[in-house]
Formats: sequence, structure tokens, C-alpha cells
Amino acid sequence: MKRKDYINALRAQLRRLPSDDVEEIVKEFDTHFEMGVADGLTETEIAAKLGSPEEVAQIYLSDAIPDFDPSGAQNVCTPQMPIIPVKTGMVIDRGVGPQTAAGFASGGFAKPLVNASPRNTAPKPEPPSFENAHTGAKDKETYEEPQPQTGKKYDLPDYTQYPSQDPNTVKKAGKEHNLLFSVLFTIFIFVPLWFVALALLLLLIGTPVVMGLLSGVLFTWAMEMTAAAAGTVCLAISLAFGAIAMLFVAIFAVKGFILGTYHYIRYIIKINGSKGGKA
Amino acid sequence: MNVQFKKGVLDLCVLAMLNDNDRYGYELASTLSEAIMISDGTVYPLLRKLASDGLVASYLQESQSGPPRKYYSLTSMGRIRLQELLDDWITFTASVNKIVGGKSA
Repeated sequence: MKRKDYINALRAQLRRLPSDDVEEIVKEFDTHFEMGVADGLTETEIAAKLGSPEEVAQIYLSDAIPDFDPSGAQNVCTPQMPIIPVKTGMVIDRGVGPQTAAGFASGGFAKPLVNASPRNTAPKPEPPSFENAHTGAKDKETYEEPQPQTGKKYDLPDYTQYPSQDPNTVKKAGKEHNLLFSVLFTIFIFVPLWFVALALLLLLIGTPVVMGLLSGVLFTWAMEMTAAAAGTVCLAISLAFGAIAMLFVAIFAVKGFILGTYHYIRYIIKINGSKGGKA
Repeated sequence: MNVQFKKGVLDLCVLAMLNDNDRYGYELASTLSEAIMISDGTVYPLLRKLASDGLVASYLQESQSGPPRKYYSLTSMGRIRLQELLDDWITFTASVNKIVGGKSA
């Protein structure tokens, strides 16, 4: 994995943390890459040594989000931490810290990270075997199977259940779909409309011509006018229609047509970046 | 080596390394990953956690080569914690050695 990919993956995994924290973390890893390269390692080697971005992000998330991993993994360095409020009648002194050899093993050693999945809405209860080894048999009686936690207390919005609300996902999906949207919209909506508009324009311009011809035929045939008189009337009618039509055409239609096309092309180019315009 | 063993002693190792000298993240990560075969990436979250617990402090310092380095130093709370962990570690290893040491040594 290259430096850029690693950093991007890490940033994506950490998106539930405040953005200031994410940037701070990402910066530290970026520096790590820089120093590794200065040390003569390749980016791929450095990434391999770091461990996967998912794994790393899970440690950050389990530290930052209370309730993330109720098994006590975060109590490693907090001697003053009170007993963790466990819902059931469990009597476990995990939070007190390692006072005995057994305590060191149970409280001092963190849980394997593989279990600390952020998607795990129902964390597996840890059996009380190790704790009972030194707290006595009565714990076995008071121990009840912890119920899976349903209500999360995250301060940050949890998009796991509503990925469509996640700004990161939405933004990404939007980018991917812009080109497809542009092509489909252009072919099925813009081009047909463009032709309809063009046809209407031609009709508007053509109307006076057609009306003039029609009226000429009408006057010559029905009113027994001389060809010269009919011609004069036709010309007058044509001019009248033409003048009105051209006024509309000139002011609204042409302007609208040109501006509409111009803005459409500009928008399509904009949402696809400067090079991907579909004109 | 057992993963849980490593994770448990990692903060002890970090605090102990910082007790000698202020060190920057890369230095800690590469030293520890070589010594106890952990991923470099686990050291940074740990440093952040130790910092938020007030056991270590950090400051930026320019270096002659490369980007400014983020140095970590031990706070007085960190020193106390190190002593506690060290005592625990010695007691623990002594107890374990009593059981396994005679046979393997």
C-alpha cells in the first residue's frame, strides 16, 4: 500500500472522530512515512510495518469512544479509574488496576484488538474466569450474562446504520455518479429538449413564410383578387406576422436558447471537473 | 510472542523509553516494533492515549533533516505510573519465573 492510499484509508476509518483529531493523527502517520523514506525504506515497506489502517483506526476509536469496547481494553493506563459500570451484577475490579500478578494479567494486558470492531453493536461478554481467580467464588454467583448493549452513547453521529447520511459516503458516491448522471441526462433529457426548442424556433421563424403563402393562395382563389393585389396583401400579412414573430424570437427565444445551452454545458463541465465535460 | 503479552507491556516499554530521554514517535515506533515485534502503527494510538491520560506530554521541534518532529516526554504522573507498572512487572515476572524458570533454565 502506498503512502497516499494508507493515509486516505486511515482518514476514512477515523471519520467518526472530530476532524481536528483526525488531522492530528493523520499528520503523525504522514511524518512517519516521511521519516521512514528518509531511513531508506519504501512506502510499501513502511505501510506493511505500520499494520493495516483498519487495525490502527480501531485502536484510536476504542480509546476515544466510551462504550466502544466494554471489555476493559482502555483501562490499561488509568490507575485512578473507578470500577466500570457494568449493567448486571458483575463484581469485577478490572478498573482498579493491577495490584497482583493475576491483576496485572487481567487488568494490565489489553484485549486483542480483533474483537474491538466498531461495527460490533453487541460486544461479546467476556467470561469472568480470570477475575474470579482472585476475587473469590462469590463472583460466580453474582455474575450474570451481560445483555448486548443496544443504546449507544457516542457523542459523534454513528453512520453505520444510515450510510446514506454519512457525508463521506455521500460525497464519494456523488463524485462517482456525476459522469454517469451527465451522460444519461444529456442523452435522454437535454438533447430531446434541445431539438424540441430548435423545432419551435424554426416554426416561429417559418410561420410568417407559411402564413404568407397560405394567405396568397386564399386571396387569389376565394376573393378573385388580381395576383398583384393578392401579392400585396400577402406581403403585408407576412410582414405583420414576421415582425411579431421576429420580435419574440429575437428577444426571448434566441437568448433563452443560447443561454440555456451555454449554462447547461458549463454546469456539466463543472460537476465533472475541468476535463470531463460532456458538451 | 503472545499478542496480549505485548500489548500489556507496551505502555510500560514506552514509559520506560521516555524516562531516559524525550523521543519522537518514529523513534519509539521503530525501536519497539523491532524489539517486541509489534506493528509500528500501534505505538501512535498508545502515545495519544498516554497523552490524554496526562502521562506524557508532546512538543514539536525542528530537525536538521525532514519535517519537524513531535517529541514526547514523561510527565510527573507518567513517572509515578511507570514506577507502578515497573513494580507490577517485576513482581509478576518474578512470580512467573518461580513457576516456569526452574524448569526451563
